Amino acid sequence: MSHGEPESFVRKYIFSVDHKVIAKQYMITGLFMALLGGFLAYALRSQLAWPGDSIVGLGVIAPHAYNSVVTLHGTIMVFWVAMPILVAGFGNLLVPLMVGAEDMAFPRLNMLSYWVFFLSTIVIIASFFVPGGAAGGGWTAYPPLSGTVHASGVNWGMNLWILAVALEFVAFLIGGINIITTGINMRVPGMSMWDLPLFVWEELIASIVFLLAVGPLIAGAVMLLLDRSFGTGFYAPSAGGDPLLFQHLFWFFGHPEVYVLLLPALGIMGEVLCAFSRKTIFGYRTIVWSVISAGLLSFVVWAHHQFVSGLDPRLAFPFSVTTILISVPFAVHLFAFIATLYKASIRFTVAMAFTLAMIALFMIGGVTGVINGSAAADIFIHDTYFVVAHFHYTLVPIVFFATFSGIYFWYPKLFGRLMNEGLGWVHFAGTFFFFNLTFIPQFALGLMGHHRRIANPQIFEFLRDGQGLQVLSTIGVIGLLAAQVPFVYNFFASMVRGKPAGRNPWEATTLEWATASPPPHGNFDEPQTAYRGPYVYSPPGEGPDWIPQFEPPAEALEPDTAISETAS
Amino acid sequence: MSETTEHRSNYFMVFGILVAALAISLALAAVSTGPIVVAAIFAIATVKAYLVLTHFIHLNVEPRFIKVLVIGLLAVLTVLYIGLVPDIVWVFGRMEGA
Ligand SMILES: [Cu+2]
Repeated sequence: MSHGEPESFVRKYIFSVDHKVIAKQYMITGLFMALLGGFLAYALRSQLAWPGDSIVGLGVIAPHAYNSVVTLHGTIMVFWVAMPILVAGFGNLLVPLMVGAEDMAFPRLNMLSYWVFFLSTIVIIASFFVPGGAAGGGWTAYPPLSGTVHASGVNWGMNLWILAVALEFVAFLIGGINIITTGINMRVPGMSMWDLPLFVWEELIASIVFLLAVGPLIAGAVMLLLDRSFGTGFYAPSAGGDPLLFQHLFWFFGHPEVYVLLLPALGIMGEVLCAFSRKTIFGYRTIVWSVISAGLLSFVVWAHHQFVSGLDPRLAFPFSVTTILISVPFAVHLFAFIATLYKASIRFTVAMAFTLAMIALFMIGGVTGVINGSAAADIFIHDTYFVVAHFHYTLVPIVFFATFSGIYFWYPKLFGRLMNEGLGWVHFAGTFFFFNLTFIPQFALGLMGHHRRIANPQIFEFLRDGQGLQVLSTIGVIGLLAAQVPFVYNFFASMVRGKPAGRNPWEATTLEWATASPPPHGNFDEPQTAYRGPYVYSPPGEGPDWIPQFEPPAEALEPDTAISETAS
Repeated sequence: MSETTEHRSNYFMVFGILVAALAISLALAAVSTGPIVVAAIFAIATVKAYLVLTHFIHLNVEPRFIKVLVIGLLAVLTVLYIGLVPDIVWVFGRMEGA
């Protein structure tokens, strides 16, 4: 591959085939969409706290517009924030570097993947501005609400939603194939599959799970579009169809999708955890096998989203069992992380703080998930804010805490500098505090019976007492957004003012630290070899407390022979 | 993968077989829509899918890992189908005659 030839601005920064540029494009697009998704969260929370009042920056939200706000908040956060940052952004940046490759296996496809994604971003943003407004059927787009124009009053908004999601899937299918091929085929000599950094394993499995899960939903979306536009009746009972079919197809994708997001996040955490606890990861192979088994199990839990939607009652029991079962591999995974911390000499950096907080918060999300997973309990709490709080306790740690951790940690590989730790701590403290302030009240509201899709809780007698909690939660989200200001400033200011990082500022072991920060085009100045596993920290004996994967074994022959000679 | 030499399929012959299979399916459907005929049509469709996978999607020359992925995909689809049967195929109490 050609290195170092001067390229035009367009080839270098816009239509680039360099995986690091594409990673930045994905991340920055994702972070921009996070601002949009966050603004929608602020809008919907304000409406719930002060129903009918004019909202600063938006005005009064009409009831049908409220539906669009909720729908697009969910859609954007999952498909235009989590996917591009975690799967494509970090995957693009790190998978080639960690396996020691000079780029992705298919650089041009990689570029195509980003630009298809970019197109999908334009389509979803455009859907706000068409007559009738954006899609209003919820981020799951259930028919009949999404199936006909008269059900939600939204025509083009819904069609564009389907189109945008389909384009996005195309982008991530291309990206996923690239990640799988790169991770498996482009490893440096000496790096067996069992020498792969955990992050690469998690990206690989996430990409395979995505690949296997996405088909049925694409079929489902095509049928939805046909129902809307060409008068077919796949989901229309009047024509012999069944709306439940869409729920099956959606969640057959939707639940594995959660793991597609979770696994890269866990991978990021694993790398950060090892580097800052100066210890080998506890139970590397156990973790990999638990991820593989969770990936397999993720295909047999989907109907737990449908316990109250007319599912055949005989299906409720098996899906309850598999759902509760799937918490086992993730418990193993997280306990392996906690065991890694045992007796470690922990270095408290901002990246480490986000990872540790992620473990704690995700536990709350996981445990409340077990409650939801039991069909009997779910009948009571289904579609309430208890479930909303549950999945925000899983997804916000996954999508934001792990991402922040990764950005503080790998910023040197993006821009060659370090982010400011002081601002980082302000960011961390604000995010942690206001996140909890936002979502703890929602558990209580959910148990009071607050349904997730109502625009004005005050019209229900039994919810009026909860208005204080609504306000508290809304103050939380405003604080949460305000807490991102130091991060945004830090992110951009550190590009020029940050401390130059050097190759390996964290004294970490994996291959991305073997090259310059930021890595040049082609990544490595010389071909690399992997000499050992990814996490050799605190080896016995004298010397530094880490041995990088790429460092040739010390010429230990002489002392060794010396010892054996004296022994004999 | 290892042998990059000629391992080509005879695409035109495969295409011919596919067209013939399609014609047979259509003819069968014109004759009857009974359960045996439907089963036969699905059997023919399976053979067609197999031919497309092996020859046009080149599974016959792909490494084992790719074949394992395809088998995984088929397993996943089977699971989905089994999960759908109680709700979508046996429509007890929801449609007449069921
Ligand atoms: Cu689920």
